[in-house]
Amino acid sequence: MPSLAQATDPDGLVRFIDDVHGDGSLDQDLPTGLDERTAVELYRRMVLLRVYDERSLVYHRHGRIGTYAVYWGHEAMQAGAVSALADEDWVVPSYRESAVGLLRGMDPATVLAWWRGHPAGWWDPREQRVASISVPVASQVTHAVGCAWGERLQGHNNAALVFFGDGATSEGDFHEGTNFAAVLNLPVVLLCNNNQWAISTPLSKQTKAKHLVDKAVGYGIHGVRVDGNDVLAVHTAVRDAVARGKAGQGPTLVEAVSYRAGLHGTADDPTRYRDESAAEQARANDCVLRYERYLVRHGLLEAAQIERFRQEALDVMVAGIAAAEALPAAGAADVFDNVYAEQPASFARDAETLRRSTEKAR
Amino acid sequence: MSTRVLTLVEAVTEAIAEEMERDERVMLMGEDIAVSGGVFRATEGLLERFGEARVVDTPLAEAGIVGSAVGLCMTGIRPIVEMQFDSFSYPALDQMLSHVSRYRWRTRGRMGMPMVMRMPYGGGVHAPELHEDSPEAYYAHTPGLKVVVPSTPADAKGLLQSAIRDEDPVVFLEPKKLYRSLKGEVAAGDAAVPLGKVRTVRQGSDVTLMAWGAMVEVCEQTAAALEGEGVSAHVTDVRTLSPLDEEGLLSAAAATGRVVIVQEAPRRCSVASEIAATIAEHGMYELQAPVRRVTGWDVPYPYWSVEHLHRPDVARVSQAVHDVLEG
Amino acid sequence: MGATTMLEFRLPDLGEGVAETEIVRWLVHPGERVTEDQPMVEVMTDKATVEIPAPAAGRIESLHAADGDVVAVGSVIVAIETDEPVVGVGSARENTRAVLQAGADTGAPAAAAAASGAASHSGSAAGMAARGPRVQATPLVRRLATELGVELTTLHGSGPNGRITDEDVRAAAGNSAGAESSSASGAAASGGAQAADVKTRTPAGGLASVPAHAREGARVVPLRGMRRQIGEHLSRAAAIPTVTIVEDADLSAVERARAAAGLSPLPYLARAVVEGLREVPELNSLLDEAAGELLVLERIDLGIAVQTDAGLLVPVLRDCAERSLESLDAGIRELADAARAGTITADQLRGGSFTITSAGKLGGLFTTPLLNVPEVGILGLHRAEDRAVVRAGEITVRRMANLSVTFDHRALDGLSASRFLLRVIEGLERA
Repeated sequence: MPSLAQATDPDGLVRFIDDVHGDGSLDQDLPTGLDERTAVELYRRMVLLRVYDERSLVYHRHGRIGTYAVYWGHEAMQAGAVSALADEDWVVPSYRESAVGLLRGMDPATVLAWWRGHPAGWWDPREQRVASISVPVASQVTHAVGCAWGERLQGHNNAALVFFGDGATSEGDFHEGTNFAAVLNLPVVLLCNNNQWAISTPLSKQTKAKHLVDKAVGYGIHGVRVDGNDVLAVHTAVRDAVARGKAGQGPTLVEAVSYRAGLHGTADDPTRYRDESAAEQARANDCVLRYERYLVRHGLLEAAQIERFRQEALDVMVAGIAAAEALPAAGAADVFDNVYAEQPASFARDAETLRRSTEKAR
Repeated sequence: MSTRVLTLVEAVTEAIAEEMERDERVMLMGEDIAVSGGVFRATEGLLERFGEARVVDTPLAEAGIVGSAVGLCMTGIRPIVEMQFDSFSYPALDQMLSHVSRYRWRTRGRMGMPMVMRMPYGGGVHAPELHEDSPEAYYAHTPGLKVVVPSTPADAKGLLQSAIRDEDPVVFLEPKKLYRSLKGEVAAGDAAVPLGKVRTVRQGSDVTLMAWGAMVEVCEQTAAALEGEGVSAHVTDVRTLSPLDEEGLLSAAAATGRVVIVQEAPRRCSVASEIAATIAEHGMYELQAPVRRVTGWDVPYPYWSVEHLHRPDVARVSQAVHDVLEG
Repeated sequence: MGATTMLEFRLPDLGEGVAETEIVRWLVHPGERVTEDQPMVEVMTDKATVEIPAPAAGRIESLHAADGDVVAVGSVIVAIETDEPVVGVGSARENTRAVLQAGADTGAPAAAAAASGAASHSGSAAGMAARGPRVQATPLVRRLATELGVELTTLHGSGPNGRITDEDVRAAAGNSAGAESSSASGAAASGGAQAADVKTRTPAGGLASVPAHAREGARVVPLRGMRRQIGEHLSRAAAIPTVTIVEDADLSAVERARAAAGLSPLPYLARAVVEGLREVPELNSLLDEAAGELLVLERIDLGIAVQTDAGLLVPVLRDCAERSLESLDAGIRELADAARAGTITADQLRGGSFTITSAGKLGGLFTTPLLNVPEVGILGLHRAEDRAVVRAGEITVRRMANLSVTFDHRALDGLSASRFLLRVIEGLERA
């Protein structure tokens, strides 16, 4: 069974799975240490994420959720990485991984509520050990550092996985966080989702580095570059990075190379800034379909399972949107409560002022 | 309870040490604070006492420091982060405004950020640019943060102890001018003083002076000078700038009906402006004259050779008092 | 066949605050059967072109917009006859509206506590050192008390929460009028007030008050608001050295002309006044007592006195010299209507150079109007009636009315004022 090193192609990109339209001649076997049951579970998780994203786009077009950050094509990266963690390890998403909590048992209604602008969408990070969706780009990198650091201070050897994009590597917080993780020798997995685009800004305008993984050298940390659409490659890289960190060898920068075939978000129109032929090609190399074919080729997945996983995911989504839409409407209490542990005296007065004016308006 | 005379900075050190002793989740991080004990020696001796896991010299990265603190809070740690000087906190503003202040509200009260950000604050020490700012307004304006400023060694210890124990993030501004110049009685052990309450420094009947930090001293000096003219000044130390002790401030205003608010920070959109508006809105009918603010001018903090023209002094506060007595 | 539901699909907000969207191209047509998620229509916001999928399986009943139409967010764009009820599909805007309304119902935490907290902070007296009774009064009232020499702590406030009002202070000052020259000492105490300060001109000895025994049985009408302001204005005016000259005028020509034109007499009067002011420009002036200057104005802005329910108002018609008769008429009507409707603005009541008052039947034979300070002249047109007059030695009946001009004798002498009046009358009789 191949290791990460053996699975690396001449371009230095780690890959286990042949392209979607390939005949499988470029397939590697399942990576060392990954059993068949887990391999199929990985696929199920990808399907869950895919269905969530597909339905979300439809819900947006119907006005049932607000602006939404599409993550079509990132399922391999998200499911592959999170599945490589232990339950006690922390996951720190950007906004692209808004539904990653689903992989840890979070109710889709919660995530849908976030995109519906409802306060029920803000979960307690300590429940699934998934930090909140992070809007300011790269600001969450330092949070992951703090998580790993805090665990160590309390005698635990738990890792933290943080997601950020290619654009995020230009932000100061990426630099500061990575540097902290390195200097403190923390078990942090820095997963860079290099999908080549930061809204309309291509990678060539973001960095002069040949590969983003090269930055690891500057921090004195380990780096690896994988095919972001290859769930086995991502999974293996993160698994090795977690082991490395927990063995006291510090953080790893994992550059997952992909292509943002979908929109940046529902208010985005890529035809305004790029030639869609590359996106077409990327869409044709769908990571979910690619893995599905791999598993079928290797006799690990059957048509009935494919159908069942999809239907289960759909059922979960339909129940999720219904639950999200059934949530009691947010009110004044959601505005004023919990800003501080104890509500300041002036808030009661403000709430009364609001109540009087809304009453008059009616 | 025994008391000894300490300087303000010694009181700070004692507060941190006692809280780190009480609660093993409390840790300290910042630039040059461990081995060197801090550029003002505020954390002197703490590395030796508590070890390098809990007293950490961080890389030179304010946003990184505060961002890490966010993650530390998520795991149950209670970090005290030091910003080396007031203005050096600016690179961390994004983390403060976007995350530290919001996490409790975001999670509907399920997860808070029990951290303290402390920094040397204010001017009057002849330091170069960006070492003497008064940035309290940025933090006071941000919902979810508390802002506290001691003006005595007793309060430096008592308020800092409370801040460290507080479940909400507290920005603790230590008037650097008073670090060593001000000595006072400080109780040993638990000397915690509740946040959110003003302190009456001096009773008076003709005019109320409100201030915080190093300006409290200026007001006390002004009050003494005014006494010679037969003017009785009431002096109030605001102490907690956010959330304001509205009741305490309004009582102090009503005691005389004439209010002068004194701060080092520039006037525009400042805490003095907020206090003045609060008094106008809720205490108008006790007023005998308009509320006056004596503040830094609306300019960048000047070169230290002319900083005395910027920081309110006894002359400027007295002048404001005379204006307000004339109605 | 099972039960069907008609689903009316509304155009959602697709781009963070988009108000309207263009229908680019329908991908389905009426009568067509569609499956859920089937591409239904392409629309374009200012950010992007997006495809909206069918919200449910069913039959397209009707399209409510055509290709190329620009449609407001929230409008129904298609009706689908669905095979089963569809839950939850609406526009995000509607959902938001529902959220806001429901939010209003949910109300605020601790509203009851807030109600007491929102009350004044007089309760916060506790905790502050006692230093005698605290007085509640605005700074304005306090200043008035200082000027009038009234001690606030001796008063009982008639305002909310026992607040002392300016009326309380004036009443207290008035009660001690005869005994002390309180207004004089008050004026001195206010520091810097000039002797010739028009605003505080009051009779020597302070304000007169009515003793308690004379109040018994009387119906009290407080002189507040506009009535009080008018009163203050008039007190000032009464102190100026004015003289009134009265003449009579034959309005027959005006009556004929206005009947034919369908106008009121006022525009004719205004036009005649303009001619008069051209001849005697000193009457179109303002007298600045403090500076000791007469400011002769170039432009003629006539104040037109209008009787309203709230009292007499004098809105100003600007630049009368440049107006035609019709424009004068229209302008006067507009101002009078606004004054009676209560919509006149403070700006419209300011900046006149001369005033006209015409009270019609209620104008009496003549009156001696008070000046609209700081103007120096006011013209009154009094009651018009048919009178027997002598023309060319014969008695005949003419429509006659008296005109009076009241003027500030410091600004001009009687001869000039007479000349003005005769010029006005000449203008009227010429029509």
